[in-house]
Amino acid sequence: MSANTFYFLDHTPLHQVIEKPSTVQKAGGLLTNAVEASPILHAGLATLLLIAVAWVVSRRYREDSTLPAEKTFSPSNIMEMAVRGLLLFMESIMGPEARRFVPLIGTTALFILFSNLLGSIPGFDSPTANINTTLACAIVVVAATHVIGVRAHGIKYIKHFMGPVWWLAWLIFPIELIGHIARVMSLSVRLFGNMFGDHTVVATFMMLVALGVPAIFMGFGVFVALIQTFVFTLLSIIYISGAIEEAH
Amino acid sequence: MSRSQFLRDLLKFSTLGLEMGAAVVIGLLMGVYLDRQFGTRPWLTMVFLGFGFAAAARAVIRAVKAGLLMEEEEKDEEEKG
Repeated sequence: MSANTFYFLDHTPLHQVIEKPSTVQKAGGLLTNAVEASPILHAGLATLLLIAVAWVVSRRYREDSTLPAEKTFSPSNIMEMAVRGLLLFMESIMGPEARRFVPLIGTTALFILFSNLLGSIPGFDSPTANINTTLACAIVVVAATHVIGVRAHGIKYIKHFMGPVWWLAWLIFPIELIGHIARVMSLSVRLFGNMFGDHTVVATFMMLVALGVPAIFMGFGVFVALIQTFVFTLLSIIYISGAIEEAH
Repeated sequence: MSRSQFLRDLLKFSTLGLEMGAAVVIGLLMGVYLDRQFGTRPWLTMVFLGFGFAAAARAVIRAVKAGLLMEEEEKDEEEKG
């Protein structure tokens, strides 16, 4: 079987657009080829999708302020359900303070969910199947936990890194530092590895049996996308609640 | 323990393995980098690898503590209800 048979697997419609030399020049020569640019473009696409959803949903609230209960299965109902579910879930872990962190957690959760599921649509790619996208999300979340920690405790936040007794601080500090960098790494590598592995499995089975069988693994792919979004969100919540609680 | 609670804890603790591995790798990389900077091969590599192992162990200890706390809370709830 020649390699050309599966040309479509890593040449999505977006790739074909940017493989024209003129588009590469337009991007200022930063993007040298389609494979490099793909996650950036698809992440942009996921963002645009989210903006579109937000616009559609918020239109309802702008038009009438009385908000009668909609009994249909409308986009705004689905999004309301999702945000409400997220808030309840966060409150079950963090308590009443959860409401402050809904914008951060909700944005990363929805972005990752849309990015993961984008790969399940034929002709599109998951931006999260690239380590750069997931690393960006993980750095944002972990940096935000420290900002939140400093805002909650002020200078005393450093006690989180010093351990129980002062004469052990020189030993605990590098250990905590490594632990916090390991959080960034484990968050990003987990999401990237799962999405990349999932796509590789689908592509491999498409090469072996092009009909029927890959559908099973695409179904698994949707499952993995949901689970990984949930894990990323859960860990972000746990890290943030760890930063706002008192040092032991 | 409800089913969703069980699933959540399952996911929470399943993340431990990767965090342990990541801690060791980060410690090693930091050690190698610092050794290159100061030219003290192989001492800082070994020290920071040790820190990496310690960070991994600390992650496990933290998870076990959280697990014990959860168990206690559950017992309290059972006694109350």
